[in-house]
Amino acid sequence: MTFTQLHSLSHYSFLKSASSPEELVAQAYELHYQAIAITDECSLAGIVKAHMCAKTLGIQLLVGSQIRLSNGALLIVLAPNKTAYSELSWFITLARRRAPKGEYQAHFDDLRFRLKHCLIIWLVQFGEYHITEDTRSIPFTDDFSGTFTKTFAKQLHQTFKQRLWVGINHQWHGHEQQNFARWQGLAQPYSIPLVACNHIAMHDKQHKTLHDTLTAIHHNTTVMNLGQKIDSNAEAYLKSPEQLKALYPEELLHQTEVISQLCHFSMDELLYQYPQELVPKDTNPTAYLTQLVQTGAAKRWP
Amino acid sequence: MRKRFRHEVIDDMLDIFHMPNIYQQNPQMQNSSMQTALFTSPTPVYQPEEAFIENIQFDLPVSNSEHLHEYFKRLLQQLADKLREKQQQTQKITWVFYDIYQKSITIEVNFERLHHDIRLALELSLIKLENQPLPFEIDSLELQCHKRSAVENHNSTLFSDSPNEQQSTQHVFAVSVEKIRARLGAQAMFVLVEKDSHIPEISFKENSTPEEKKSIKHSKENHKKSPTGNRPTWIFKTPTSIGTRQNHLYWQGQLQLLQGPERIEGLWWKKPTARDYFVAIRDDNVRLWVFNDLHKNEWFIHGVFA
Repeated sequence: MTFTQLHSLSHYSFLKSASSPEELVAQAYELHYQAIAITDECSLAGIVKAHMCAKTLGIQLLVGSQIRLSNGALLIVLAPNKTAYSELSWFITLARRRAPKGEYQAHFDDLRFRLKHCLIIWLVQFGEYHITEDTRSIPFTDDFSGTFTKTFAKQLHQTFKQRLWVGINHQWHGHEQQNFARWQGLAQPYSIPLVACNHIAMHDKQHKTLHDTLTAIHHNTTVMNLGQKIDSNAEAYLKSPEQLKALYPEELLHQTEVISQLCHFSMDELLYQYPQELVPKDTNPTAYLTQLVQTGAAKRWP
Repeated sequence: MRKRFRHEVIDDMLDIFHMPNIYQQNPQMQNSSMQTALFTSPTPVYQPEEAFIENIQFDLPVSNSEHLHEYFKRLLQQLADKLREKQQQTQKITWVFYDIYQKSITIEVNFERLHHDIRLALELSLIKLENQPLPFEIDSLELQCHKRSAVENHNSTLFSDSPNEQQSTQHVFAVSVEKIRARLGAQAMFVLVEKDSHIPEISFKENSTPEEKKSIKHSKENHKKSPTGNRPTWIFKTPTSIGTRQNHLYWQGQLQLLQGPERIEGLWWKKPTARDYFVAIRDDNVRLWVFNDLHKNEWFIHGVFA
């Protein structure tokens, strides 16, 4: 079985993860994953370190980011090629510039008009959404039939078509079995494929104590007083292929492979690019510059 | 004419609004300054808390509690008039019974919520009186109500014929609860209050007394909660160990696992807990909430679904 990890936060998602990008990539290599995506929240900050590590170990790295839209929807955006990477970088810059430092503001319309080549994984959460009208954001609780969720599924499908997946995160929270039929019901009318999308906030289970401590710092309280803000279990770690096979149907695991095969972008493509210069025939820019400098020096210091 | 206007009209207005007579303090003050002063809030002064204390002195001492009913009604009507006049409501009233030697006994009547309905207050007072025989002949009866707060204004349809069904059901339930509490005593009933924890047995606590209105209000802090599975109607305070028979879990009948697991881990800083919860069905179709303790590898029952 080949598996690609599609939703991993590194500690560049400030106080939301207890592992470095290198630790995540190294652990994915140890577990014989085909590839791993580093998807920090509205950031590409951890990508370079992950890329260096992935290059050394010889594992494929997918570049992406986790984005929460102003309507409450949670998405993973992956860059399959260099154009998509440019779109994603520009999108993150735009979202970050709109909000004070440390925050961001991303709207569905931004995705629609700016991400023409990126792959989108929608992490469906049945619950609270926000309806955005102009600049106002109105809290809105989706009903059990999920009217808003269904409408949003339609919008996403119309916009992204074959570049859209519904991500399933199974972490033994108890609601997954009940929700699976709902996820299927949401995806089937538009033929949106479901994909195994394990949420990862630490490379190893032993880091749960560190993760809880970071969560406490994030909420400016003690670990004891975190209450239900603390993760109810320590399942947000990189699991072995056998464990994943027990959690997800084969088809969902296969879709991770499909996504990884669509992604060809490597950070190595981002080499320094010097613009082409117009120089006289039969010479190169360096020789021509030397010639100009010598002429100028003779004029100034005769 | 102008002088007369200043003395009569402005002085009267200053009296009405309890404001210092700045005109007298500074006769040269211009009209504009005076107008400004008129619409400036006066300096707040200490106002003692206004308590409602009314009593009735009987011509002859009363020994039969049934004779007190009419006096209860009369005093409560006075309290209701006062509450309506001030647009207030209360959560607690106190009856004090005096004998001819000024020896007294007290009966407190607490409501679960803030009220201005004297019918309920009367019913609860009579229930309390039934439960507490009078130790002496009553010479005078006093009704006290110290703590009152402003009525909360709820929006409702002005010309609606039928009351809101949900509100009506809630009211009937609240009244029933209060009557049971008045009959059995405050200690006999408790309210389950949610506590912020994902460990089931510490996710609630029992409150025996009705809480003050202000503390009942839920926090509006919008924090993200971890998603969870179903929770049973009745969660045991302490999980009970269950055994096995013929390789099946057994607790007052054979159990079959239906749904799960939901993994709950935590309290690593105190008493590390790791459990896999399942919904199980017993052979009499009762659904139970059971878990496997991952540290001890033992099974426990923790709740019952309605």
